[in-house]
Amino acid sequence: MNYSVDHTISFEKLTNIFTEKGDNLFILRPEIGTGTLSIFNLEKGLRARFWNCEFDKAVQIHNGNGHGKPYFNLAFFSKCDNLQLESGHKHFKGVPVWDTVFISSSTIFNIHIQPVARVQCLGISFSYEWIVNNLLNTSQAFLYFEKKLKDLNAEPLLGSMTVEDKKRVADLVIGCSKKQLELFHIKSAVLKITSDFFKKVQSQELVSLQNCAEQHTLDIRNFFLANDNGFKPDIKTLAAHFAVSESTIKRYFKKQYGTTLSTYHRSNNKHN
Amino acid sequence: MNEIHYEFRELDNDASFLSFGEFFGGTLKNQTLCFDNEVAKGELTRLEPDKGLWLRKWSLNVYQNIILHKLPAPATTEKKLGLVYFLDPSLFQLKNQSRKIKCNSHHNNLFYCNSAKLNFSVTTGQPFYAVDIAFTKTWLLNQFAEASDPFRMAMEPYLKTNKEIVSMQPCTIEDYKTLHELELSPIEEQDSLFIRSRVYSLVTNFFYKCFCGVKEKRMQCAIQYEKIMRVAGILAENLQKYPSIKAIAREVNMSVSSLLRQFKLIYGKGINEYYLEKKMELAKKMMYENRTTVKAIAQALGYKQASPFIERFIKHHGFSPGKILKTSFE
Repeated sequence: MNYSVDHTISFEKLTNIFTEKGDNLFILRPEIGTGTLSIFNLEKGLRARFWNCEFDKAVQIHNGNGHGKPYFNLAFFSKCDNLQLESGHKHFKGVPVWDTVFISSSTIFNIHIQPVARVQCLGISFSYEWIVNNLLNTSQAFLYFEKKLKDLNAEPLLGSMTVEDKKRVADLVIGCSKKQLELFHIKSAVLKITSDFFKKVQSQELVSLQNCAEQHTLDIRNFFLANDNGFKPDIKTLAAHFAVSESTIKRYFKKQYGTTLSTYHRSNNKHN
Repeated sequence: MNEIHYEFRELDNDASFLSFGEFFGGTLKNQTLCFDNEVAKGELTRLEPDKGLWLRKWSLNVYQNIILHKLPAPATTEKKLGLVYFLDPSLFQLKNQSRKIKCNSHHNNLFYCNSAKLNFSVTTGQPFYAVDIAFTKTWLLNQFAEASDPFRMAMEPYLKTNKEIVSMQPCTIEDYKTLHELELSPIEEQDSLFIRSRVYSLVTNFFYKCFCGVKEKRMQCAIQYEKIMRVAGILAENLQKYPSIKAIAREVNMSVSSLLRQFKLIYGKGINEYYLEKKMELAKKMMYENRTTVKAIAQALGYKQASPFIERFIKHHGFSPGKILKTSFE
């Protein structure tokens, strides 16, 4: 998918499209849009960014090259109109279904902000040491978490907030942009949100892009196995059954069986 | 019945915690003192999420009259402050010097400093759950180092003077929710992030309500915390079929009107709204995990037709259930 881009910037140099106003506050450059970005270093290895911006120009933000010390980014979008997320060659069209993204510094990941986009987001960055000290080394329950962190290098992890969580994030973002909140309040809220997120990761409530595509192809295979009695559904029927478009079902079918549905049916007829 | 008196200045360090356990015949397992004798049954868990910050969770049933005497700390020791959350306040009797301190649903969050002299006793034969947090002045100052001027000015009297502090506040709705999370989880098995985030949340909430004029809705009636939590549990177990309010009220031994009123006070929304929210969150989770048809999810959640389910889902989440299934990666 091609996007027209007015500005391209990496996550590390994000503040370049803002003007620093002091006291952790940055104002979006007027030629790009309006709004604020507040950045707080909450403790060693933990930083929170609060975006409350309206973009008039197309901006592409890309993840860094993964050099240097590994770190992780967790983003909660309470508003994300006109936003497209992309990982490698996969364009993630789920917004607003998928409003939580967890990536590592090595994940190939882009955010395309299209004009006119309204972005309200809480971004939390943490170092690997911070995760080790706060999670991995402190509970047996997170024994397998390290593998999940490694998997992030290939694919982002996606989640969806509850309505209550979304409201909490929105209140926090608005409170920060209006400078109504004390730092300890922000820290306490960010720790709680992060902890709740990791609990979700632990209880497998999130999906990776890879898993999602695999799940579709697996579903199709299971469907054919379960209906192996001469039933020959056409593409339209399958698309309706899996609630996806016809082109998507064609693609998944080909991925699973290496052929088109009609060829599959024809070869089955000959075989029978 | 004989009274058992126990004097202590603090329970934060290892020695004081161990001697408390020894006195009442408890055995130490990791961070938890376990009691199972004629004096008490249950557990007392102590954690230190940060240097200078302690959390204790008391889940006990005492069988003898126990009076805990917290003696004033020597003037030379570092100032410490404490917060105690009494979830069953009617079971506790508190005294400061010889003055009785009110402990009820409007006064169930005690704030004190270590120079205070306090006596605690609890009704026998009734299981109770309480949480207490203690922190040093240094810890507090570090946390609030970048606080705004009005906030610092409001806090100063509590930190600078040697004046004894003993005050009672009501628990807020947020407090109840956090305390409930701590109650449900075996905290010694939890990761440090979970514990720290919950303790910070309680401390932050407390100082906000004290100094920032954040006025939470005051409880106008005696909150039956445990019963309301049980109601939430019953609702969560019956997401397929809406249980009748009358039956729930009967189950938890409350009148329908006080159940509805108290539920709204704790959760900030009516039972019906809460129930539908939980149901819609479950629906979303089922769609992610099972990736089955909308009709199947609707039926699993007790809807005869898919359309009212879809309507409710859109109203709650702002997108249709089909959109989850249609979410594709190209």
